Amino acid sequence: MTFTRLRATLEFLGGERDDAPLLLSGKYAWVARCAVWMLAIVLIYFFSGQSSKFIYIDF
Amino acid sequence: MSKRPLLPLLIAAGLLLVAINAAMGIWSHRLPFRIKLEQIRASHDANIVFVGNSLLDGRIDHDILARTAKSRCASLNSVNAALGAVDPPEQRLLFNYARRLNPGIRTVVVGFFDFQLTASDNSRAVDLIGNRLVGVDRRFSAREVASAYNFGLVDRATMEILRWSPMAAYRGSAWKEVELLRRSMGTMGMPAVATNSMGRVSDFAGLEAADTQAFDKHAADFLDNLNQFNRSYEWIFDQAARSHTRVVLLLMPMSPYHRSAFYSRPAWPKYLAAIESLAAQRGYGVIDASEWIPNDDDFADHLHMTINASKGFTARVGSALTAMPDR
Repeated sequence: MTFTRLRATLEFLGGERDDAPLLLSGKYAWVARCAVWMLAIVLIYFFSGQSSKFIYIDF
Repeated sequence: MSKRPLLPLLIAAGLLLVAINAAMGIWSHRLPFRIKLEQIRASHDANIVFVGNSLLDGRIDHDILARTAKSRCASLNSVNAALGAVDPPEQRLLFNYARRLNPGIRTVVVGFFDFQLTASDNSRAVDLIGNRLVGVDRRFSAREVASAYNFGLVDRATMEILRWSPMAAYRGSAWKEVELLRRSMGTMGMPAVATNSMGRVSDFAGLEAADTQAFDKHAADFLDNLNQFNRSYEWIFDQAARSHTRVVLLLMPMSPYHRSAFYSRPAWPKYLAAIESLAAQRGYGVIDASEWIPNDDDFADHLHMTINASKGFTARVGSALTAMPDR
């Protein structure tokens, strides 16, 4: 993927542009959308414990 | 708006959940509580079990204890069920697991500090994280876990979800990695902070009373109503009584700082005397080891003695146990 496509994809995901890039509008766009949601879910999952106060870290 | 097929999305979402759960299940296979359960499973013919938290976890040298007992014509074959970062309900589960596997246990030693023996426990299923999740292991029935925590319907259902979903149960493993990243980034360009194998030394002050007034209040609350221990310990003591097992309460060694800040308060000797009196009424032994280790260097923080110091501690515990009457 060229830098331009990556930028277009990120801008679309961020709401900066309305026209979906090829990656997110082609025949297998659902795969790419799944990957985007998967990344979002994993990031949320990892960072959702920030309000926890850790004393022990060896578990 | 364009129409998108729903089925492939649902299938992909389902596969994603399965994949994350499988990954978390594999990733969490070597968690400390699982290692502890395996250590207990590997024990055999034990006649003494140690119960407690991180103050006792890894602080009993099996061989030194056995040698000390042998030199006094006694036999102490130990299983250490103490585990770091757990509360009394988890200690109850671990005790029961050790007892199931070692029916010959005739002494239970409960290591404690401050008000651990008498503090109430109101854990909810959502509070359980890290080693406190020992109850998700299939070695414990849902009924046993619910009983240990005195869970209601909602908490039982939550616990069942945790038992079936590694992604939910072991969320702490993922959070830990982020916390370690946050700590490493937070120390960039900053003076080094003291750490030990369990975390940052300064964080363990959070396990002590917030201030002396809070400490005094804990003591006063028990002295006003001094008739029972924490319900998990009461259960352990009840099981011990049924199997004619000797109960020994072991006040763990405390650092000079902790003794100076808290155990020198007038409230502490009164509280400890009340504990000893309650123990004497029931025929339990009490070992006060709080002053056994006078050197600050033998403590990893205010509360935890070092592994090196624990060798001498084990020998003294062995001597004290063999000097006690059986019941």
